Amino acid sequence: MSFRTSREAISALSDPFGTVLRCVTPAYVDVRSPAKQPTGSLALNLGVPVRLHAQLPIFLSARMFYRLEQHERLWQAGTSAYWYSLHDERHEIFAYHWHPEQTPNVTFPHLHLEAGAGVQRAELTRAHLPTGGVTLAAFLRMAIRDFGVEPRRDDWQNVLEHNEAEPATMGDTQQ
Amino acid sequence: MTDAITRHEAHDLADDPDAFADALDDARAHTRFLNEEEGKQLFDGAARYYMGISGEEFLRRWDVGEWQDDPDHYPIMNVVSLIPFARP
Repeated sequence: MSFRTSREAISALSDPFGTVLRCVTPAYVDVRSPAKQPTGSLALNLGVPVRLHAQLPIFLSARMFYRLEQHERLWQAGTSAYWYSLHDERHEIFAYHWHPEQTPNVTFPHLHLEAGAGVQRAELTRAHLPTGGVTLAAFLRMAIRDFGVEPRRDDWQNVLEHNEAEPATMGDTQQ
Repeated sequence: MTDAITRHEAHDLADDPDAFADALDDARAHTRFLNEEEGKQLFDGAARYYMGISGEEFLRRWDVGEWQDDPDHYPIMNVVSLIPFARP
């Protein structure tokens, strides 16, 4: 989808990003679009994990990169990387990543099992476990369903479903 | 090459385009578009939180390739994923 201004194009990504996050946290989303760079970033809670409402301590981190392009006076923005993770009080538990430009040797979407997962096998703690592309809505649905996170809205399922149609540009996802 | 994100049709909105307007308004009211200085402050705070170093030092060491062998792990990637906040 194309827009008349770069801000409108960025909002087409930041709106669903913020809307789904508001289902689980009141924390702010910050956006930065550097003037001299084609890539901008969205981050939850000043870039540090935010505690979610749940019986056991659980914290959320969510960021994404977008790439801005201008074609014949119209602007487009597409997702170029994402990072979603859950943490306990001391450690990251697991993280879903896709960041082909930051790690040219790992261009596919993947899952990390980190210290908070209690994994013993050394290879597994360093592994990039291949996944399909994961939307933030799908990730949050899992947090609610499987980790006891309490949603902030009664209609959270509908909000997540509606905003699952993230205007993503998933380029090189070869595994 | 695959389009790995599954796209769902927003069919439920066909009947009620304002169904989630309050959710969108709420999200927009809690989204901040940061300027260069505010972005640097965010990045600096995150670098100190994850790595115990300033944002400036992290960028200097990242730019010379200090963690290039295997940067894709906690906590390094958690700072890398915020680099656009620190760039002009």
